[in-house]
Amino acid sequence: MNAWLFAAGLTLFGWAALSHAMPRHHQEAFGRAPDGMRRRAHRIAGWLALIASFAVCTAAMGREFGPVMWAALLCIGAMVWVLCRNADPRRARWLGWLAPLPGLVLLAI
Amino acid sequence: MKNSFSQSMAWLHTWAGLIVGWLLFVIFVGGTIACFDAELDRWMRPGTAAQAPARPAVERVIDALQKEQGDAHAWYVYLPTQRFPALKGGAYHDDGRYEVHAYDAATGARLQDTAGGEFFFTLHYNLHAGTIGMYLVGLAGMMMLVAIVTGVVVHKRIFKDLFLFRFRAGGQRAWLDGHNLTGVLGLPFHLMIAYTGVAIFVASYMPAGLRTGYGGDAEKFYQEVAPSPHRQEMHRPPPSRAPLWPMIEDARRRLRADPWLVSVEHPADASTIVGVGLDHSRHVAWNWRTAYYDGVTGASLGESPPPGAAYHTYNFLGGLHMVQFGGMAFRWLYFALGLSGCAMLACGMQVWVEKRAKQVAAAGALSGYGLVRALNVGVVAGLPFAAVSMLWANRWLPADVAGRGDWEIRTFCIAWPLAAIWAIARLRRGKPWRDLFAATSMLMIGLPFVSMFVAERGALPRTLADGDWRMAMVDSTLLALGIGFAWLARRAASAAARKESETASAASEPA
Amino acid sequence: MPAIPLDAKPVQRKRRGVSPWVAVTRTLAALSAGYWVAWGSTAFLTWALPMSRANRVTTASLLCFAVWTAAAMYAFAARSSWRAWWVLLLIGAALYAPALMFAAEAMRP
Repeated sequence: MNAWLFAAGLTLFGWAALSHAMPRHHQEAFGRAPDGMRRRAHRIAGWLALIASFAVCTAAMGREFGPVMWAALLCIGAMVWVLCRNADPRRARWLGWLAPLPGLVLLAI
Repeated sequence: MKNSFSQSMAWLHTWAGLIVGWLLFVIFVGGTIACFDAELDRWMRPGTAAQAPARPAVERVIDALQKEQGDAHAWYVYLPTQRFPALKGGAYHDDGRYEVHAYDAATGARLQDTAGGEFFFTLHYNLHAGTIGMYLVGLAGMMMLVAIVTGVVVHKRIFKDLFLFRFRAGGQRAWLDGHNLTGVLGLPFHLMIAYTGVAIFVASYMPAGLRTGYGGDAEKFYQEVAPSPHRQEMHRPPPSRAPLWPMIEDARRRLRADPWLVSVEHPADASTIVGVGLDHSRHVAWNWRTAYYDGVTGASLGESPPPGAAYHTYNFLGGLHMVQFGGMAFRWLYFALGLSGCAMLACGMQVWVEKRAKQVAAAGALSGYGLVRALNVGVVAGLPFAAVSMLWANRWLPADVAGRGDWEIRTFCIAWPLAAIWAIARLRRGKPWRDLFAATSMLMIGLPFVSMFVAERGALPRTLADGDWRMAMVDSTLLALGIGFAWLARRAASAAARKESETASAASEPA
Repeated sequence: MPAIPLDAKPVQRKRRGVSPWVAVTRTLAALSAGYWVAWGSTAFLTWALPMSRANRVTTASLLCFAVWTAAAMYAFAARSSWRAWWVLLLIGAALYAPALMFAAEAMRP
């Protein structure tokens, strides 16, 4: 239960980072256009987070359920991110950055 | 060629999507609700005890089946599970009829009948229209595949626009973005659901393999793929019936898992065979492992062999579709993704109307455009209204009325056309979308409150106090969905108001 | 307005929208000739695949939906309505022929 909350948070973080790698959305969120390094950093962070989410799902639920859970979280996470991002691009950044925390905290206890 | 290929595919996406959109909406709503069919089944029988004893009264169910459906082709007894903590006993008759009732797990007393969550599941895979319905659903599914692939092919900015949703822009822009959002971001799910959905009935939809490989002998194919003991009928009644519980316990040892489904083949014949099988929660792939016993002596007749690679693939595809695996989390995710699919369909059909807004406004009610608008409101706004009306019927019908399930279904079948006809009549002058969504919202929010008076045992105060969160979940979901529909009603009202002022200002402009 | 010739050049056709006759004939092609191709591919694979009979039939059947989708798309992508019909009919026949000619081999266990 806590594992998939963490995986869901990682997914949200990943989508947020990938969207911020795009100049248009970076502009909306940060108020300025990104340079090449920022774009690459966001893209790498995004992909790593999505891969980490896969790893967490598979580790917690096995090779059969894990990938299915991850695929579903990818879809829902992306939809949630787009809705939040469109509601408030600046505040949504924090949602993206802090999303993995609740799951991580619950796992650690 | 590129330009015209995109344009051809865009045309195909538009028309394949529109023609089958309403049908797919019904299928999607049925399927989304059916994610929680067992929970709904239990909610619709509010007298059901929350916990089943370790030793349920299976013999009482067999007695009831013997008395009421003794001449059936096969009996099925479903043991209690966490999702549905009561017994179910049903019989499959030679004329294709399947009759099932629920029984209290401790006493074996019959619980009140209901159309149950099963109603939505059946609506989903055959529209309650038998074989023709199954083929219609298959056709819709295959057209959905075409709509999905063409949709991807023509979406040129699919990656650039991945995170785009110009919600506040209103009008066509917002609808298109909504359609793209739910369609693209949910693409893995929608593609999987469409393909696995048609794959489940592949033997009916594509008999070429059977013809070529087995000369059309379906029985031979099923026996090779999933062997099970078969016995010739002896044409005399069984001298006695071996007790079920020892067989269930033996199966539990053999299969090393808790049994769920007990089937009794040819119960009225001495050749009767009992099969004890498992539920589908442990693996993604459907689990058909069964231990077989002689129905008269109780002697073991062996177990089903493990499935071959291709059959296992089929079971995996089917299992992926029906989400009986894992726990609540998977069902919730599928439910949410199913809702996104409903949104995708509704937004898509609305895009079609918005793109042709001028022609639609100029056209009369008796035109193709009029038909599309009528179907849109009748299906998308009418179906949820009918579904919640059926749940109201479930709460208000007396527990002991005969054919209770049929009355619930009648309520559904009357509420839907009534709502649709009323909405279509109001299309020109009123705000039918707002009204139907508002009515649905009120019914959904009202239902948990009504339950407190007519179905106290299953209502929120009691279920929350008892910690029965599975039952509480249904009422809570109704409340949440009710709020969602209230929001939809508000959006529909403001959209209609905006359109009215647009037409008013256009009319007041000098021609 | 002159009737649109069936084998009109694509650009010409698209600029005027799609005539009902073209829509009907291509839809029929997608539904019937497309299904014929899927039928042929299922029969062909039931004969050709190197597996046991039950596996061959199951695999071939499960793949038919992908084949039909491609065929249905071709029915609308083809350069002319006639092409849509005869290409699909030909492909279906070419696939079905070996399964019919070697019927006994197709039924090998």
